[in-house]
Amino acid sequence: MIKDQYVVDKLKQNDLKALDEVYLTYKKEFILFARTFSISEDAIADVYQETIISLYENIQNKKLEHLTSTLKTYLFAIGKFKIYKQLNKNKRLHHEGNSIHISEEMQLFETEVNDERQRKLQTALKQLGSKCQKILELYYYNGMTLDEIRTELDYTSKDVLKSQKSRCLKQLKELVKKSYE
Amino acid sequence: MNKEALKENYFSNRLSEAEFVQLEQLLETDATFREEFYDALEIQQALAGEKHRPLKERLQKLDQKPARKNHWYLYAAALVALISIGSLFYNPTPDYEDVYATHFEAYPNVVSLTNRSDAPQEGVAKEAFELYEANQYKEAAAAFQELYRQRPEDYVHFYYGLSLMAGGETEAGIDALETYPWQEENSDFTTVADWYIGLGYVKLGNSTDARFYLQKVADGENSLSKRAQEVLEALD
Repeated sequence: MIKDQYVVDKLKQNDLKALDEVYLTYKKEFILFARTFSISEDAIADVYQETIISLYENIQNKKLEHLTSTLKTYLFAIGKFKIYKQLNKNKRLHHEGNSIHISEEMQLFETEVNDERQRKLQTALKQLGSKCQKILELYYYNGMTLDEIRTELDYTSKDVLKSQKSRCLKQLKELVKKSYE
Repeated sequence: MNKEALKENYFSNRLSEAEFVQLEQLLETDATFREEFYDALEIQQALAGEKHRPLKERLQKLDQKPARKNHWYLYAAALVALISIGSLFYNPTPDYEDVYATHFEAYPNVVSLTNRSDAPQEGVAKEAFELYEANQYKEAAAAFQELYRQRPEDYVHFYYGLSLMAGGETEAGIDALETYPWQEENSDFTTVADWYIGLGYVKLGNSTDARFYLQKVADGENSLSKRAQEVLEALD
């Protein structure tokens, strides 16, 4: 545990070599674990990489600061959620033919975004103005609150930022919609 | 807690357990909120997908090559396992070329460049090691020679000598390896340098010098000593 927390602290400092170590340390065991489910070898490799990246991200955006379990348990919990997502075995909420997967253990929601949809969203995001891109990135990816973003991007008030964010979302939605036409 | 705050706290990872349950319930019952939240999750995942790309490539690269360790002796141990020595015992007269061919294997690149802080020369160093790993020993030798001018360190010199030897320039390789004061500098490469110099002399058919260096390796306590002993026996 102490050693695991040490690794977490190294990852906090963007130590990618530590991330490589984590990746190599648990790889074999994870693959053996994943093989007990019926998913392909390619999918296993992909899930494992995504799992490691999730760990890194959770540390970076402060979702994970102190381990309450071993690092291995933590990793396997993320991995299991991702495997279950592929097998549709997670608890889910349905939304107009789509699902939101829920992990109460990890306090996590995820949608099923297919590759095409993902590409369209990414293209649309890039078509937004740089201000919009920044706001959405800080809010949805870096886990910053509106107050923090206001300070970071020098907005005069939270309300101004809020309406700017709404405009960005509206614009994004229109761009995505247009890409399907 | 209102809906917006719940959502904000979710995306900024500040939800308590009770709030998570509250959010989950809200998503079940409030279709408008659910739609908004669904869109938000999609955006989050699209952004994450983009951001993950370089990290993912990094991890995929790790799968393609074996992990590098910084301790040369671990590699030496692995090499021992790799190379068959059987033929030596059934060969009554030593065939120097054969002994050399059986035992010579270019030393793996054990230098981790990212650990070194001398960034300006990093490009040259990286190129040299890339050539070495691509078995382009002639070009690698030239690159290490150049690098050594800027960075006179033991490992650069070691790989310079090795590149020459692996490229077939045995005499020049021996010369290079013999001119560095490995022992005096207390270098990590002392034993491996002796090993390769010894093998070089085996190739040249100079069993006296070969014995001198290989005996040094055999007398030491390291993973190459057993192999050095075997080569010595083969030379007898």
